Amino acid sequence: MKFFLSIVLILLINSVSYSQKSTSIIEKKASSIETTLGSDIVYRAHLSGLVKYNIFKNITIATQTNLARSYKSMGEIVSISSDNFQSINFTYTQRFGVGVVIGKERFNHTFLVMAGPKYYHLKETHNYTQIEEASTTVSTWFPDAGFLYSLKIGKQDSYFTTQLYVPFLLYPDNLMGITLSVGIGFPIIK
Amino acid sequence: MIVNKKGLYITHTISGLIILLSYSCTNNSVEMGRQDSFTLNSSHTESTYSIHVTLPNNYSSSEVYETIYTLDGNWYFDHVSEESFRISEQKSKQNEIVVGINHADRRMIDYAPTPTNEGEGGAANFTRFINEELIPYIEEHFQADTTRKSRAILGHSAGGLYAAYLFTNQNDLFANYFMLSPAIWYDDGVLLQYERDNRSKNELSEQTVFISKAELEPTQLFMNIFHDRLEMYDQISLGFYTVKGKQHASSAKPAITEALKFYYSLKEK
Repeated sequence: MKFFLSIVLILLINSVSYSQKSTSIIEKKASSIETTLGSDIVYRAHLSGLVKYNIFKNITIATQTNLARSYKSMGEIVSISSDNFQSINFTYTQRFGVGVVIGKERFNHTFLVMAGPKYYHLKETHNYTQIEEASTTVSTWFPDAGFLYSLKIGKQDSYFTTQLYVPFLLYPDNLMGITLSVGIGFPIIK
Repeated sequence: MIVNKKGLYITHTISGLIILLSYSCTNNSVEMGRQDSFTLNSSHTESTYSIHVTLPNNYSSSEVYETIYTLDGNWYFDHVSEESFRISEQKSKQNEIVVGINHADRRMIDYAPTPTNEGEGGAANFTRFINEELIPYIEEHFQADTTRKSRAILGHSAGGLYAAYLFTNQNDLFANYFMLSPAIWYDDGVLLQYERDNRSKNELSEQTVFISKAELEPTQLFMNIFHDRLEMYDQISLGFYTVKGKQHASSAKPAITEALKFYYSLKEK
């Protein structure tokens, strides 16, 4: 826990230092919304909406809504017959964060530290004739936190964006939380 | 982009100090008994295993001690040893001999009951190694109690699958089973078939079983079914625990702690 708090502090301190006496073109307050579609490294598709707002020079705050759903059956991953066993899971995450924007208006990088609640839902059913129980369901909330990188290319009323999300605590089994997505962004306030 | 160099120097220095402070460690050392390590060659699996043993801190040649065998010893032996010592002290119970069996990169051979895309079905041969080579060695060289009721087996994931395999197919070796996130889904739930086939024989034996699962892991349905089956056994002390907010791999160590708490709570001394 100390290590991750230290990462947060480092990012905040460095973002403040980079914002001082900066002559980057990104000095005016601006906000944008970016919608992206992507995947994690195993089996979930992700749909995200990211709203960013520059509050001071290169400092930006953001909120992201993320919906993810499994698109592979367990039978495609492990030795379970897909005909007999079905497993569906989806997540809803609402993250809030702060970070720094580096670059020019037409081409820039946004580095954010994000955190927020995540809702997880799992439903499993089977129709094995020799097994008695039919289904199980799990629904729970838990915290989610990580780094979000967003690349912006373009200056028009819409622009190309790609995003990479990496959770804190990658090891041992949060590698599935790494998400890469692409989409379109729209300036809201210029 | 022009930045303030002095400001950058200061912030980078502060960043470095923060990193150093974040890695400051507290002393969590545990005073356990003597530890021993050796290798064993198996004629059944044709492989060599690194074995680690932690003895109770009051180990005496005039006493006999119960034993916990830990699968995936290279991952979990240290944690099982420390927690076994700590929890037994907390509950004023006699600590036990902990044996760690390193998997020697063979876990999906030795722990798998049948051949599939994930495993090679070597569990029967590995069981012969445990029964005819490892347990006799431990009981000859250390003050280990030689009765079934004095032996426990602990495994996570594929190790949990193998512990479940021992429960269903070789129930005379161990009386205490810790199956942590066991891969009961393996080969379309073949363990459920084994349980049903051997139930009439196994349900007569007095035994302790602890099953854990991670709240966020898939294939929980199979673990639930296995637990529900064992609830029908008359002679069983059964524990079922969900590690909240954890996924499969990160649930292992919390599950080990809960398993040992459950186990030592049941012991008379």
